This record gives sequence, structure tokens and C-alpha cells, in this order.
Amino acid sequence: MKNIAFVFKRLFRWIPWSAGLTMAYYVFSALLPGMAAIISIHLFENAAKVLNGAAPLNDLIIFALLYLLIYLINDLLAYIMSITLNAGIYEKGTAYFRIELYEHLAELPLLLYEDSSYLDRRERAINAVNNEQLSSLFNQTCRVVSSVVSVLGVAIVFARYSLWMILFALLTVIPYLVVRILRGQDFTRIRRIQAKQTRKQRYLWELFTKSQSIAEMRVMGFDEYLGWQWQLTRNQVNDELWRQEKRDALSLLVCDGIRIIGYGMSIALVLILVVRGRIPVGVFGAALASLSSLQSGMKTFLEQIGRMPELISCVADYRSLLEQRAEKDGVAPFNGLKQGICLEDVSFRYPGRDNNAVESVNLCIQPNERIAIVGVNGSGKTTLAKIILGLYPPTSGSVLYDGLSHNEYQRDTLNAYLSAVIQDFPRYQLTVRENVAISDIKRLADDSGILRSLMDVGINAPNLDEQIGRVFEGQELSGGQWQRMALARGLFRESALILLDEPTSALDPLVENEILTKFLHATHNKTAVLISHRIGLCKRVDRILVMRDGHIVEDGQHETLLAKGGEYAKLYGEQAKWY
Amino acid sequence: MKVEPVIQRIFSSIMLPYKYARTLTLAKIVHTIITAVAAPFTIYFTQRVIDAADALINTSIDSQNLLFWTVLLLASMLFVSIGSGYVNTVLNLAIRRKLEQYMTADILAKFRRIEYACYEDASLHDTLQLMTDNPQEKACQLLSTSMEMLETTISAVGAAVIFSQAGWWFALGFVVLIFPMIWLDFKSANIMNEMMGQQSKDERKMQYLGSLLSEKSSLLELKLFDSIKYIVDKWRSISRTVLDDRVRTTFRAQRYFLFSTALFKGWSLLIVIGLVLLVDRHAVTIGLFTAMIVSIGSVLSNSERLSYSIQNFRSRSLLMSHYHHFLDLPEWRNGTQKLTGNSIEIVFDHVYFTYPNTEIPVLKDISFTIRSGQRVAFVGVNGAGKTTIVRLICRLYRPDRGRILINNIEIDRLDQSELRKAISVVFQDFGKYSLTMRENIAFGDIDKLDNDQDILNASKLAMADNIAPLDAQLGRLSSDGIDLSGGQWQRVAIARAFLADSALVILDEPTASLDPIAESNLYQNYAILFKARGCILISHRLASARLADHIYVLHDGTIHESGSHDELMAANGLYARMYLEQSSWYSEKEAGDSS
Repeated sequence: MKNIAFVFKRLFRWIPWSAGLTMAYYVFSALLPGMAAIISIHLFENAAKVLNGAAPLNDLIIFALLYLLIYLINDLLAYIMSITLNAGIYEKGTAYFRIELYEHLAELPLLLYEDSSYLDRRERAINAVNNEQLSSLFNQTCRVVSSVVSVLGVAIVFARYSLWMILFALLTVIPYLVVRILRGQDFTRIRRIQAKQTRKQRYLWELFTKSQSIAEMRVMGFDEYLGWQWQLTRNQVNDELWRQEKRDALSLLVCDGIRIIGYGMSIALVLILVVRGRIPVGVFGAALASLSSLQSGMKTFLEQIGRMPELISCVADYRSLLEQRAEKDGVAPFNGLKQGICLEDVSFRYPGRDNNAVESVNLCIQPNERIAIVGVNGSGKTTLAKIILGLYPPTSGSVLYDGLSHNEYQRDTLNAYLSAVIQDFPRYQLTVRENVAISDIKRLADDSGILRSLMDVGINAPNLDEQIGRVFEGQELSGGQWQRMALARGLFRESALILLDEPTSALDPLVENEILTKFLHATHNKTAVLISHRIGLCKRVDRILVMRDGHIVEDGQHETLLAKGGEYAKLYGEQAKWY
Repeated sequence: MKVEPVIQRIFSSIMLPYKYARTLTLAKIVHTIITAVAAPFTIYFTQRVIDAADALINTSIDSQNLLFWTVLLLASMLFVSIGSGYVNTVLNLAIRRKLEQYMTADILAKFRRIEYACYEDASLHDTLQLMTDNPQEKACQLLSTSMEMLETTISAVGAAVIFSQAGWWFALGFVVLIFPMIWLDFKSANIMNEMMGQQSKDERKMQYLGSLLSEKSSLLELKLFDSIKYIVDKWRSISRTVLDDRVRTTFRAQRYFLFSTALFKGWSLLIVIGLVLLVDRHAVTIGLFTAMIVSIGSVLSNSERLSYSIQNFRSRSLLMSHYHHFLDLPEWRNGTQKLTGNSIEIVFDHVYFTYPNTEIPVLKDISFTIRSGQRVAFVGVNGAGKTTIVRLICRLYRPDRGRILINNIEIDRLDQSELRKAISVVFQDFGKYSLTMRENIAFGDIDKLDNDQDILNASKLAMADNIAPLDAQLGRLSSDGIDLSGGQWQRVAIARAFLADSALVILDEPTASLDPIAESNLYQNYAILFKARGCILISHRLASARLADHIYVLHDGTIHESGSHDELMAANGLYARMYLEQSSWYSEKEAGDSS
């Protein structure tokens, strides 16, 4: 109920006209069968009288016109509704829901992306919006209520002749309602349980459609194995669904049976009353007409009601995501780093993991210090860097910029001093200009600045407004070129602190050397944190941090650490010996 | 839409499910016809019941007649109801199940045979995409749609027959009106479709911008850069134009719809007036009068369904053209020749290669010979054509000119499993499979899936043995999956190559995301491996090239220079320049540091 109210409230706030007019149609169409029944009773009665020569034509004409009129009104409203529903509820409503969701998603803490249950919920909520399920719930609810009212309306009209009619009318609806709701819940439950299998099935199928995986499976010869795995998974999923669907179909058969019995008894009842002369033959015609019009309306209604539980659970997913709280913003403005960044006993653990990724790190970074973090794969370098930038909050301990932690600062004033080139940098399918200036969007029109950053990383871009990337038919770049683009972006932002995580892994040696040299030059008066497997780079920074198992095990300059003969000396030696 | 192709398309929409579920498809056709024919009979029985009841009241005779027609009416209602409910559902389910079982298996088999180049052909993207997105379900929907067309057409004819009882002009009017109605509905659907087509790019753009706001790596950057608002605003502005356009077009399209509704309203007005006049002349019975008034509504909704299903059919039958296109995609042909002898020799004989749909050749006149037991390295700047050589050896593409031979047999003529004996590959963009660790490694040689010893050995050689237990689930697909770092994935990929018993191993940029110790250890392991097998190494980390017996330096698609490390250093060419550049990071004198 809460979920339904949620959708109605939002749609009435965002698009009151569309929501109102759509509702108006459904109100009318709920009353229509009842009105039609009353009018057709008179219509048929008069026709019978005219045929028997017992009445003049006038009344017949009036009721015939009335009959036409209510359908004309209904069609007019239906016509208006088809516009308000499609353009309003579905198009506009979905657009509003989508923007509300995405704006909220963007506010949520990044750490949530490490939480797989959040990722599942997020995917379900996004799917709910993309498949227009929130708007659907509005429409379906209106439809269901309107159908129920229309059945009751007809029943009440005929109850004048016999109270049994109400019972028979209910008999046609109630079993379906019960079965559909129960079955619908069953389906939702099974879908949830099967979600994992279904995802695997889809994943395996997609492997056959991607060039990268198809190349490997052909050359190595495991395509047959994967095909077999896919069939296995599919059979598991389908067998269960098939059983469920058969059961569903069977229970529908039972409902159909009950419904037909309801109809049969209503018809028989009316017929008996007609034969006994208790009601005129026109009522019988009207009853048949109403029942058959209800029958066809009921079919679509029943198809819809089965989807209700699913729709409601989609809305519940959407709501639960909106209730996820956004990051708090602080009040202190940040005016540039004066004393430095200090990490006090910082530990960090990813949600759902057993051990800390970063373990009691104490560290002070002076303004304008250039630091390299080295260490083997999985030693916690990237995580530490993200903690320093405030992208992940430490599980314990604190990160202080000039004595205050991240959440005490106004987020945007602090961010204005930070920049980063991350390891899995995005490849924006936008223009060259946007790819660079997205890091400092107010300088979007600063052509000379953009060109300078591009030049620094060795990109010659004659046309800044050229679309790049394959998705929107732009020029596709190689991995190395994308990496340069990411570097240009990081450099373009006029920051006091910059993080570079594996900035040159996809570049060839000639370019790598040139870019790193330029980069070190460009960050001359910045605080810089570099993560790299090219240990040779460390000779050129002010300070080296060596990490192992989440700890900082060594801290110092190239010569000192080399002389010490510890972890750093080992890392350096391993790489240098090949040259 | 011309008549002939429509019939063709309807035919093929039936033939596809027929191919996989003969009896069921036939049953569905028969069932559709029977249900369609039964509907007008229900109207007719209604008419007779009322007449009989009227007769009974007025003349008090013939109650048997009333009973007879009532039973028929109830029976036909039951029949239609069960038929369109239960039987229809079960038939649809059964057909879908068959298609899910056999049609998808066929599609999968076809995917396995398609020539590799098709996968990288952007123009085939839509076709492949559609085949990915539940094609069996779409085929079922298509069958249902064409059956709906059949059913509504028959029902329309049946209704016309009923109406002709009151006068032939009732029926004629109906038949005459149905054509302009369908045409008008078409017009309206066309306008909407056209707009949707034009907006599909904007739609994709909005979807893309949405993904930027909801995916981890982009969100991380956008948050830091404070540019979320820019993306949201950009999206808003696209969304606004799209919506405005849509609302306007909807209004325009609905005009036609209004005309067609008005036409039918006019027709029903005429019928009602006509009937009233007939009543006045005592030319109809009360039964016929009631039955006709009642059926006006269902005839109208039936006509709407007809035009709706025609439109549906038109958009859905696109699937068929993609499906046939898909089936017609070129397939790669497996050879039959076997390799003989223990040693392997791969020869590139004046090979030229240009990627499909491009102009500039990537490889020009490449010739070299590699034997098993040899260590060869290909080096060169980004885009020099190194990876293309790998793809040609793997038979993913065929050269434009020149030949590629393994033991003097052209590789096209070789049996794929023989090729696997000759080479195994670690691709640059190797697969990170969200499956078990065991499967990930065993993909190097799937026959060893249950051979724990060999798998463990291979993972040890690739230093992947401490990453995860063999039966642990890797990747993000399931919540209990272990997500590996780039370096860890790379080791798993390398373990694959160690598992395979091929004569030569091809490694394309194998150490890009490894830490220095892992990198160094891997080089050492290669050295062990190389003793028994040959190796083709592709890298821009030149330290690893030093290990090779022979180095080919590629530049602009040609072999620029070649020789051993010492020879190339002495030649002081491109290789020497690249090597010195890289080693300067480790030499004791500061080179090129301007800080």
C-alpha cells in the first residue's frame, strides 16, 4: 500500500494534469458498465414493446441515443487518456523517476559499490525505472480498481431483480484475485531465488556474442564446454519455471471454471426469472450484454493483476534506494593545504571482508611533496590512495587535512583542490573537449588550457569538438590513447593535490618516459601521490612509501631505502636487473 | 507494406516455431481457427436464446427450444473462455519451452561457427545484439501476433455474417470501413515509429549519461571533479527535447487515431439507427436486435485488435529479417589436415593484411619463421601491428595476400585441434571469466578440467596458486565471488597458457599489470618454460625481449629491424633507442630528468 501511495503521490506532484485526467477516465470506465446496463435494460425493453406493438418509437430512440452517447463519452475520454497516459504517465513520469533516481545515486557514498547487496538493489531499481515499472504500477492500480468497481456496479444494477446476482458477480472475480496474487508472489519469490542462475545463464550466453571471449574460446577450444554449461544452467532455470507456470495455468483453469459457473448461474437465474414473468425479456438481453462485456474486460484485467506483486516489489526496490542516505556535507571552507595531510592510525576494511585492506597507517604528507607508493599486487596501494582523497572513509582512525577531517569540510571547496587519474579510468563517449574539461567543467570553453593539457600528454587534437569513442559513432581510441586522455584530464584540473594510479601501464616505452617526465615537471609545485609498478620512477620523487599487506613497511628516499636493503631494494633490484 | 511480403513474413513467422515444435504449432493454428469461429457463434446463440425466451413468454410453448439454445450458449461461452485462457496459455508455454530448448541451442551453435570478423563488424552489431536478447521469446511473440491477426480476421468475417442477417448493407459497411481504419491507425503508428527511430540516438545518449552517474569508476571521477551537475544538466536538456518532441508527435499521431475512431462511431450510429428503423417495421426479432447491439462493442474492439496486431506484427517481424541475416553470416571452415612430426615451424610468407572496412594495411610484406623451442619477441610502439600478427596466427583473420604455414600446411587447412597443439595464447585483453578458478585455468585445455595436479602445476608456474581455491567462484557475477585485481587476473590468464601442451606459447603484453616481483618471476618462469617449448612474446617492456633469441621490431606494419638483443643494440636503431629510454629509469645516472 505504501509503495502504491508513493507512486501516486509523486506522479500527482510532477504531472498533476496527466495523472488527474488518466484517473478521470478510469473513474468513468468503472461506472460505464453499470450505466450501460441500466440504459440497455430500457433499450431492450422498449424494443420488445415496440416489436409487440405496445409502445411508440420515441422512447426507443431516446435510449438508443443515450446508449450511443455514453460510449461516445467513454471513447472521448479514452482518447484523451491514451495521450495523457503515454506522453504523461509513461514518458514524463518515467523521465522524472529516472532523474530522481540517478541524482540520488550520484550522491551516495562510493563505498557502497563494494557492497554486493547494494549493487543488486541498485540494478533492480535501475531496471524498474528503465522498464517503466513505476508508471506501470500507477496504471495497473487504476485499472484493477476500476475493473473491480465495474463488476460491482453491474452486480448492483441487477441486484434489483435478484440479490443472487451480487454473489455470482463476486464469484467471477474473487477466485482470480486470490490465485493471481498468490501466484504472483510465488513467481516473484522464484525469480529472486533464480536471480543468480539467470544471471549466470545470461552471462554465459553473452560470452558467445563478444569478440574478445569468442576469440579465446575458439583458439583454446572451450566453446563447447561453455555451450554445455549454458544449457545446464538454462535447464535448471527453465525446469523450475516450467513447473511453476504449469501449476499457474492449471489454477487459472480452475478459476475459469468457477467464473463460467458464475456466468452460467447468472444467466440461468435471469432466464428463470424471465420465464416466470418476474422480469421483462429486455433485462435478460441487458444482463447477457453486461456479462459478455465484463468478460472481455476481465480477461485483460486478470492479465494485469498477476503483474501487481512484481510491480510493487520493483517500487519497493526503488524506494529502498532513495532511503539510502547520502553523504553528509561539512561546513568549514577549505582554502588550500597549509600544514599538510595527516593520517592517524588509519585502518580500512571493505564491507563483507574478514581482514583489513589497510592496517594502522600513520603518515603525514607535506604540501608540495611528491610521493610514490610501491608494493606488490594487492598490498593496499590504491585503497590507501582513495582514503587519502576522502573517497573511502577510514574504518578507524582519521584523515586530517590541516587538522580537519573530510566530512568537516564543505565537500566542493575541498574537492576543488584535488585531482586524480585512476587505474580503471572511464572512457567518456563524449567530445575531446568534454573528456578533458570534465575535470574542471567551468573551464569548458578554455580552449588554450585544454590544448595545453593535451599537448602535455602528447595528443594532437585539431578539433576539440570531435566525438570520440565507438558508442556514438566517434573515432575509437587505442588503450594507450585513452590513457593519455585520462592523464590530460587529471592535469587540466588546477589542483593542489593529484593522485596518479598506474598512469602509464598501457603506453609504449618511448611515450611513457616522455609523459612521466612531463608529468613530474607539471606537478612541480603540487602535492602528488603516484602509484606505479615502474620502480625506476621513484628516483625522481621526494619520498617513497612501500606497502605490504596493508602496512607501510618502508618510508624514505630512493638512496636511503636502497641502502637499507629491505623490501624496496628487492623491488627495485628485481626490475633493474633486466636492464 | 505490400501484400506479398506480408504473407511471406507471416509464413516465415509460422515456419520458425514449426521447425522446432511441429505438432504444437499446428495445434496452435487449429486452436486459433476454432476459437475465432466460435466467437460469432456465441453471438448467434445469444440471439436464439432471447428469441426462444420471448417466444416462451408470449406463446407459452416450446420450452425445449429455449433449453437447447441456452445449453449451446453456455457451452460456447465455456469453450471460448477455456480456449482463450487455459489451452492458449498451455500451448504458448509449450511452444516457448520447445524454442527455448532447441532454437537457442541452434543459435548458440551458429554463434560458434560465425567468422570472427563478423564480431568486430560494427554494422552487424544490431543483428548480433538482437540474437542475444531472448530471440526465442521474440519468435513466440511473433507467432502469437500472427495468430492474433488470423483470429481477428476470422472473427471480423464472422461478425459480418451475423450482421448480414439484419441486412447486407450492415456487413458491407463494416467491411468497407475496416480498410480506412487500418490505414489511419497505420499512419498514426508510422509517425510514432519514425520519431522513435530518430530519437534512438538521444535515448542511447541518455542511457549512457545515466550509466556515468551509476557506475563506480566514472562516479568516482565525477564526484571528485564536482562535475555530476554537468552530466545531470546535459541529460536534462536532452531529456527535455526528447519529451517535448514526443508529446508533440503523440498529439499529431493521435489525430489519425481520432479519425479512425470517429469513422467507427459513425458506423455504430448508423447501425443503431438502422436497427431502430427495423424494429419500427417489425423486421427484426428482439433476439437479433439485442445480439447486434451487444456485439457492436465486441466488433469494435475486435477491429482495434486487428489493426493493433498488424502494427505489432510489422515491428516484430523485423526480428525475422535479423534472424535470417544472422543465419546467413559467413562461417569459418575447419580444416582436416593433421600435423606430423614433433617439431613445429610457423612461417609467415609475404603476408599483407588490412582490417575489413578499412583502407590502410596494418601489415605489409611480413615474412618470418619461428620454430618450436625458439624464443621470439615482437616489439614496437602502440599500433605497430604486433597484436594483428597474433590474430592471424590464431586464424581469427585471414591475410589479404601471402601465406601462413605451419609445418608447410596452410593454417586454413588445419584442424582446429591441431592448431591448438601448435600454439596457445594469452591475449592482451584476456578473458576474466566469472566462473570458478578451476574453469578459468582449465580453459587453456578443457580436457584437463578434472586434472587437479596439472591445474595446480600450471597455476604455480604462473604464480596464481595463492589467489583462490580451485573451486572458488571468481568475479562479481555472484555475491560470493572473489573479485581479483588486474594483476591477479593476469596470472590466471597466464596459468591457462601453462596448462596447454602446445609447442609454442604466444604471450601478448603479459605483464602490463603485474608488480615488479611478479613480473621478474614470470620472466624467470618463461625461461624454464622456453627450454622445452617455444615462445612468441609481444611486449613493450623491452626487458622481457632481452630473453628472446630473436627480436623483430615492427614499425608501421613492416619488420623494421630484427636480430638478437646485442645485434640490435649494436645497430643503434629504433630498438636501441627504445631500450635506452626504458633502462634510463634504472641506470645510475639521471637521464632526461628535468625536475
